[in-house]
Amino acid sequence: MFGKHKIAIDKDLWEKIQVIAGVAGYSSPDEFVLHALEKQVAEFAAAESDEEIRKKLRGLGYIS
Amino acid sequence: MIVLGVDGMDPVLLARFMADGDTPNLKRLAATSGLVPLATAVPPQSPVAWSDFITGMDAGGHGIFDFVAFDRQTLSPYLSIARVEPPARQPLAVGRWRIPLGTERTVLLRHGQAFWELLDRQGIPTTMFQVPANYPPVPAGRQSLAISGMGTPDLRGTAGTFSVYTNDPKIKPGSVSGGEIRRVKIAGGVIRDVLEGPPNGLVAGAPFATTPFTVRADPVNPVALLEIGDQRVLLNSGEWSGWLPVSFDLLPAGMAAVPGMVRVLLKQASPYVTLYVSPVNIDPRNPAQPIGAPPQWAPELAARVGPFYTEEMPEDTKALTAGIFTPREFITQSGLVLAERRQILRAELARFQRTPGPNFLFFYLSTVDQRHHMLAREMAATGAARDAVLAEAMRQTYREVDVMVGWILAALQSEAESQTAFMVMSDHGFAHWHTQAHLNAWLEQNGYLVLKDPGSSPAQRERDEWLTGIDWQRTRAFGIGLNSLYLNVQGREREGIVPPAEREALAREIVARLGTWRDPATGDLVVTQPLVREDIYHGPRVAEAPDVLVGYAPGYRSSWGSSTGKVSALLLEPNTEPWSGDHCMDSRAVPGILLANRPLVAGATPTLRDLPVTILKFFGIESPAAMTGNQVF
Repeated sequence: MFGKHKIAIDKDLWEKIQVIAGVAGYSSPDEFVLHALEKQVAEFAAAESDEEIRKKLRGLGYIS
Repeated sequence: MIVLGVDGMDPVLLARFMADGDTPNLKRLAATSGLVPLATAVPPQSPVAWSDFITGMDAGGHGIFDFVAFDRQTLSPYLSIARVEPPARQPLAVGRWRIPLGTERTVLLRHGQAFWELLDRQGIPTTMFQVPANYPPVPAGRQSLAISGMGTPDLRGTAGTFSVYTNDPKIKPGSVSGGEIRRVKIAGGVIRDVLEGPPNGLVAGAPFATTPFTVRADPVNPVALLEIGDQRVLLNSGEWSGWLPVSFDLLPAGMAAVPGMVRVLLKQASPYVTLYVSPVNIDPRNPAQPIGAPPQWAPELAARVGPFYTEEMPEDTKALTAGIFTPREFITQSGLVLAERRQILRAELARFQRTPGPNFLFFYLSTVDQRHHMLAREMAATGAARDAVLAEAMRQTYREVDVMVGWILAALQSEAESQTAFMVMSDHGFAHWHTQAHLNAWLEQNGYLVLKDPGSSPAQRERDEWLTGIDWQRTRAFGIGLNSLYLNVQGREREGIVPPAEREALAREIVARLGTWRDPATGDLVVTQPLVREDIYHGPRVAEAPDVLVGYAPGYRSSWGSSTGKVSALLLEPNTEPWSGDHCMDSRAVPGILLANRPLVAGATPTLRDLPVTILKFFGIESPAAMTGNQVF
């Protein structure tokens, strides 16, 4: 729907991905890669949200 | 019944002003009830203390332990009163736009039943004006009204972020605590810039939505014309505007606009232009966030009294700390807040008198507290350092509150029979804060806390904020917040190392040693009330509490650095900030006050938790078992 992007993955890494995806029960290596990336992106989003929370805390006079 | 809640009113100061004849109306009350110290919460911080008052429980019941709470899994702090929860579903991405598939929800984190819910259930109409720790406001029953107070954010979602626009080279641009200072260009006497509003969650990266404004400085006279939205305001140098409505477009062509409002101070018009813009407040005439319960009450109140500050603790202490306000400008700005509150109190008193039958009104004032925080040093100054206006500002503030007390007494006198009970109470008192105590440094130097780089320089330690410098594999205890000390417990903290079976013994060991910490300069104890949570709290949330509550001796407080998780190289350091009065100390040293228009129970030594029980009993309602206080009259 929004198009697809190709990325190059090193052969060794791709082999590891295939093994782990199988062991971990993913339907395909692609699904595993997508899940891993989504998880990482969510972590970055959470870090951003922490920064927002810290900004909120700073508004308190009690904290500099 | 009417309760006037005066945040931070101090019994020692009040007794002095009363004796000097400054507060005759409060003295009239004292003639009936006595001026009684009101035991405050542990720790004596406003959100904790007001939650004690609201629920009749200690923090073990209501779950608010500090301004700053701490997530043990993410090892991150957050504001204890309310938390914004994201939509359950991720937004849909279309180009640079993010279309939300749900809405954010602000959740009040205080637990337990508010006493006014019980009043409402029994058919007593209640009005709660800005009681702290009530954001979003608890939905009132059919007959009750509430406007939220402490915990209510500005439109940026912060506890208040001011903006300054200037071309004065002496003012350094950048972010400061609680504010943003922007260097502007002036061309042909005209400044064109934007005011930042709420984060625009509809755009990737959620940048702040903005609205443009123009300032035209007069080439001859010290005046400037501000144009923002459809407003044009001519301001003299040093003049404040009224409330100016502003609007922030989240989508093009005004398809989604968020309303807010600001007040503006033209600090100087020549040779440089400096414009202070208040935090963008939620406009009560058209609230972008829930500040009223029921929601229509905020617009209805604003229609009667005009717009008013809605952000929590709106006296701009941060602008004074950043050197943007002079102390006199801070007094003027906090006076604007108090003037609005006077107007609202008059309107609410009139409505109270018109309401037939039993009725309850709570009214909150923040200005005594905020001015005391910022003027304690001036109050203590002597000789050439003494500025009479600043030194006497607190006396003047107490006088202004006394006038409001006089209005209430007059309203009650005019009733056929003075059946109405009236209390004036505060959540805590005050002390001068002269010395910062670096709790995390004490923990490090006593072997409880280990840094990833123990040899890190003072500059590096200053940069390692929010506990980021800590070696969690070797740290057993750490401090964050104003009175909170946590142990790093296995299975509880993300990288905990203290076995759960050893947790309480370690807490008691630290308490015993903290109680021997002395200031080498004076020999005084630094911590006079170190407490293990199990010894003070009761109820279902004790296990959520910090392991140790640190009650500093009067004059000492958790340092600016320790409260944000830094680990200083120093144990103690002078507090040189304008914020020089505080109360986050030994609770026994900073009690609040209680006065009433009826005698108190003989020998009563009241606490905040006694007040909801007293209020309920006054209306003939039995308090629930979770409220453990006693009637005070």
